[in-house]
Amino acid sequence: MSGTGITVIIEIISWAIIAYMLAAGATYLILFLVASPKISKEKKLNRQEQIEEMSINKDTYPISILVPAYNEEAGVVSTVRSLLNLNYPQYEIIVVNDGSTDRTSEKVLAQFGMEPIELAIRTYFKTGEIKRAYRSTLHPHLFLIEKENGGKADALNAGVNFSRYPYFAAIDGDSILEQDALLKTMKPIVDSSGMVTATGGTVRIANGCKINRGVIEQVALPKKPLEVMQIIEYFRAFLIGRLGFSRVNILLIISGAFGVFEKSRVIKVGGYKTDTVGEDMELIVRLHRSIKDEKSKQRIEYIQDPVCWTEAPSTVASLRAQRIRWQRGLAETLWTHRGMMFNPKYRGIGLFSMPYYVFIELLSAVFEVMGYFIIIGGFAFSFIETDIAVIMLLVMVLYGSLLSALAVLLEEWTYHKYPTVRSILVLYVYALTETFWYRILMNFWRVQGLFYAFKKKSVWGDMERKGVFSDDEQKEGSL
Amino acid sequence: MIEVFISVVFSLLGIQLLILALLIAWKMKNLAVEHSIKETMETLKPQFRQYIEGSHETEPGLPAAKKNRFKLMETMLDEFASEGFQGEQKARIHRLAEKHLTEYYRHMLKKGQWAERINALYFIEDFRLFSLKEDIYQHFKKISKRDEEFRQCIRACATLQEVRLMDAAIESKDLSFGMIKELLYRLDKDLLEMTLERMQLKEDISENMLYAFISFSGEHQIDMLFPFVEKKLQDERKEVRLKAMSSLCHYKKMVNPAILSDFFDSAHWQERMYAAKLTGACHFDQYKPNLVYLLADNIWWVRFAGAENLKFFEGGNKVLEQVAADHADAYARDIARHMLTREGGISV
Repeated sequence: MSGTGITVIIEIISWAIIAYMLAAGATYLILFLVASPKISKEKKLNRQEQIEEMSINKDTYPISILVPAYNEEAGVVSTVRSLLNLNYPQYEIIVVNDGSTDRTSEKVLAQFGMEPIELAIRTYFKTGEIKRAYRSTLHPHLFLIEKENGGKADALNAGVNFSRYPYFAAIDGDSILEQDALLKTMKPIVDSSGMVTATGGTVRIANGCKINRGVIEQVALPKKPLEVMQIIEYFRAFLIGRLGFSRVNILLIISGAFGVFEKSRVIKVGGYKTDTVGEDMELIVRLHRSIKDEKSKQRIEYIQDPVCWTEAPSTVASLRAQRIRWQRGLAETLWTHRGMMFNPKYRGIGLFSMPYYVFIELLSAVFEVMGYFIIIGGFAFSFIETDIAVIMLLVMVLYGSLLSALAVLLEEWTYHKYPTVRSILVLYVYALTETFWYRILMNFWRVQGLFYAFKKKSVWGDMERKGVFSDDEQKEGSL
Repeated sequence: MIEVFISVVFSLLGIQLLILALLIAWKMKNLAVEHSIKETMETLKPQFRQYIEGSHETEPGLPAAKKNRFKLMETMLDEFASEGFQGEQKARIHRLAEKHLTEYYRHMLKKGQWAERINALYFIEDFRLFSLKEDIYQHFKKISKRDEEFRQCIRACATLQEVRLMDAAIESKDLSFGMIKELLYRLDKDLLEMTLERMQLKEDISENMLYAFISFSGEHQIDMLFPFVEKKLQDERKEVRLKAMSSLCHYKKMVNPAILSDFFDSAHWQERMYAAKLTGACHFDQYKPNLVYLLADNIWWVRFAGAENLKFFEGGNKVLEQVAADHADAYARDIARHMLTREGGISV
């Protein structure tokens, strides 16, 4: 093929990528437009008064909170403390130590005065062997179960087996909940008399915040650029994407960091899938599938309130491992449920959500990485017209930086959780830089994640917790 | 072509920067207002506390500037209301709310946005602003969507003892079980009796209304309704029987315990479970052996209820120890061991 021929092909590819990114950006804007009326409508609502009734209502469903923990010695005590502080009429906390090799169990045992109990648990699902169980002498609704290592999904299944209430919440061992988180998240379920079968709330990043004994005392920005960028990324994902999907009942993800589920529905679909790293998304897709197969009117909802704070990776290595894992989980889930793709039986899920996740969430990194090569090639070696390279760069700024900057504005317009003017300016400026460094890193890792999904290669990496919550070394009751 | 893209990107950036500037200005203004309210509160709250507690007879004056006056009073009175004042002190809070907040809430109900109307309804209920009773009922009639505004409006109506609302609730077929209970919970004795009389006279009340009625009776241990609830143990409908059993667990009594014996062998596991719970709640010694029998039931929940309720009886732990040691059924041994180390006896 002649040089001109190659140039023409590259030009065609370039325009295809530009068209793709404009379409992807437009999809985000549509999601934003779908979400914004609800955000606008509820902006002035007094959230405290809204849940006052539920905290005293005897019909507020009791709930089991499951905390799967693998090597979470840095954060598990704070997580449990935040759960003990929850404002909710009736609940139990079940920490599932999934064969940790660090001092996760020892920390819980020492801090909360745990005593061994006998086990007689139902086995809805087969799980790794349960070795021991404990109950707190200080907080009778706190339990710890120790099991052999089987992964997060296996730990959650063990927690479901052990739990006694009709709803359960799954929360990561490195996350903490706001005091009214359960009330807010359960509200759609209670208000709908059980027609809502699963809910999730907005997750925020705790790095940089002042935390004392499991409670966020002051919201502030972290110093590391990598952590600041993740805050912006979470704004974009939760404020623009998920609410839009939830509005039309086609939400495919409830964050693994915090979600609430109707136990009987989860049991019916077989619990968490243990052979995938994307167990949170996979479960939601299976729940949708079962709802649609049964022609049930149940639905899955997302509430926009920030209710959960989680520790974000603070090093390049841990962030890379996390993103590769997420991408691999996404790919596995979409492949497992490929039969739903473009299947009118699954309505919005089959016709919009699944294609969205395949073409935008899964494959956008591939297109963007190709775009990087074309831009560099265009500027450095002139194998395409400079104009095309500039247009592609501008489209990338639109799709990356300006959309993220929009999410920052949206956060300030709605929840304005960051109390200083400086924070907003810092977030906005960082958002504008996204295209030029952070997004490049993410896209390369996501492409790597895709390769790993094809090769079925597992990369968990090490989270290298710096322990943004690890301020709780004092023994419970010692103050 | 390139010019188009450049102008689009820079226009969008310009728009965003403008919005950012507006948001920052708005944020600075809000921070200043919050700061001002906080400062005024620090001065005024102790004076109002003295007035509410009766140590100061005249009502403290408010700042001359009307700006933020409403927000200040709402915040302050809400904080006082949550402190649990009673008697004359509570009445003073109520009078202050009537004086300073009523007109604003009336205006919000008529002209406010969706969220502002709901906020007004929350506080009208919290402060029990009876002078707005008619406004709320008229507002209730106008609501067509069954959302949070509808729910909060009927809660507020019930708190203000609006008779016409209860008539509408009895007629309604689509109020949820939980919502009806919330309404019943808010009614005073007279209105509750009147509502119950009307319900008993009406033949085709909704299932949700019946369930709510049965549950509410037990949770509040209303003696005049006990015979009605106990009679429902013999209803043909399983769900009604279960609601009655649950309600009787709250009453902690039965006039005719003999009715219970058949439930231990019911084909429905929920009835076997509630039979165990009722046995524990009412301390029916004669059914203790039935609890031991249920420890070998094929449903976990029934075994759990059996073991949980055995603990209510004197010597219950000993029975469980014995079962754990030598019961023929492995499940019974397991659940007994489990219950010996896990507290039970609180769920109904």
